[in-house]
Amino acid sequence: MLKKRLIGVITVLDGMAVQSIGFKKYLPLGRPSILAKNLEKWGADEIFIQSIDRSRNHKGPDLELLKSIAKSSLSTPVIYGGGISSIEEGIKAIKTGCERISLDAFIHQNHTKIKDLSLKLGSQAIIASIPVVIKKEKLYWFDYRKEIFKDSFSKLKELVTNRYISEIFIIDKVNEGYQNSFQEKIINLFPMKNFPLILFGGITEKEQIKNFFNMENISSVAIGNSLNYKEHMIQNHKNQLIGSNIRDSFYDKSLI
Amino acid sequence: MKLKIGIIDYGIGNWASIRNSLSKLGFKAIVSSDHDQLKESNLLLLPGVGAFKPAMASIKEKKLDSFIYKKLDQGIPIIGICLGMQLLGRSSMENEHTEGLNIISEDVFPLDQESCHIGWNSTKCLKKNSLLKKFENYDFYFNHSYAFLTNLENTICETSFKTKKFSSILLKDKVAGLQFHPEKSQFHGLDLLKNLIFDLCEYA
Repeated sequence: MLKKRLIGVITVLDGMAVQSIGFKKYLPLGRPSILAKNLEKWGADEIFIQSIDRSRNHKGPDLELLKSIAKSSLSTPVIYGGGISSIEEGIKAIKTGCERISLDAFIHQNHTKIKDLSLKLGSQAIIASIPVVIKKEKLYWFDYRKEIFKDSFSKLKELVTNRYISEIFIIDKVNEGYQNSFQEKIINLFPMKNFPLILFGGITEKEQIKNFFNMENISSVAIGNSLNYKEHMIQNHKNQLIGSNIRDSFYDKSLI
Repeated sequence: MKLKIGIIDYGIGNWASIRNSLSKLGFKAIVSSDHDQLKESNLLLLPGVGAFKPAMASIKEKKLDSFIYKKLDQGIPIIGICLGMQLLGRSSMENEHTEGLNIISEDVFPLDQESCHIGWNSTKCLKKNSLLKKFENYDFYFNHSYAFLTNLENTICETSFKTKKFSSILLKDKVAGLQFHPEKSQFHGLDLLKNLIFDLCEYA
């Protein structure tokens, strides 16, 4: 049976892994490749590296970072997001050091091109990263580049309907970096009900995770800060989630 | 002497990661589409990220299809991973009907109309195989939306996804196909890959 995934998120700002609080305050954590190696050692099911300053500053994907990730010989699947705004950049990111890519700005800028990217990479390699906020009981899609809130999800719907993407990475923008605060209401308000979702932002507690893993369309829960600075947190979560259809806790002693 | 693994570069893919993983396992790994560079390999590895049609077009353009047939005739083993496994087949329906390498004379079909099969899942042995049986209780990382049907002549292991079952490990003489990514399946994936390489190369 396909297992639910616990994804370790590494937030990168200017090449350095950081602890993020609401994408507003940042504290340095160290080199992303070291954090990735730790997440692997502790048994993360997937590693999501999000370079949050790349799109805004028109820098393209962080290929140097991906090279350093590839050099560290990870045997855990890596998703990369940040700065990808063309088909060529998407392919380059995969070739440099990740298995899947996550798109954000590209969807706002030129979503029709994602069809071509999907035809080259296969939809399984493409994730849509969607930061959302709730205002007056309505869900909005936040556009980082323009710092505006959009009430239409039509571009995303088109990608989902045509199966050009495989999963949606939903970010609770307001609660990212805070404990036990992901708003479940987001799932209810999200317009695509039967599509695999990865939840991120303010998920820290086993009861939260257990609850989300009981929902059929939630494929994964992604956790940032707390997995990175608390050793063995992944095993702790997994040990407490026995019976929630997750992969067993595993500690790779060969990587010590 | 280190076994030399030739990773066939047909375009898109995280080749550096596979090469580094194989090096970590003690193999000498090279990534190339150049026949001369690949010709001394003890085993060829056809990795897999991307879609079937452009991958096959690239293989043909680089004349890697004839190179692979020649090496198989010479008794060189080959392992196909994920899309690489599917490319070993007769054809795929991904996007449009495209002919494959036809080393395994079976076709590749869409797995599910609604969603891709992404994440960790286990394999169940349908035929006796002492090596693969040891790995039956472990999960491996899958990332695909097309697959071979199960119960084929060469299916050794199958995997279940929703109501469907598909071939997750195929073996035919010196040819192996793994629908999952052993190189991305942490300790047990690497262990399986290492043992499978030794097994196919009859390396004691």
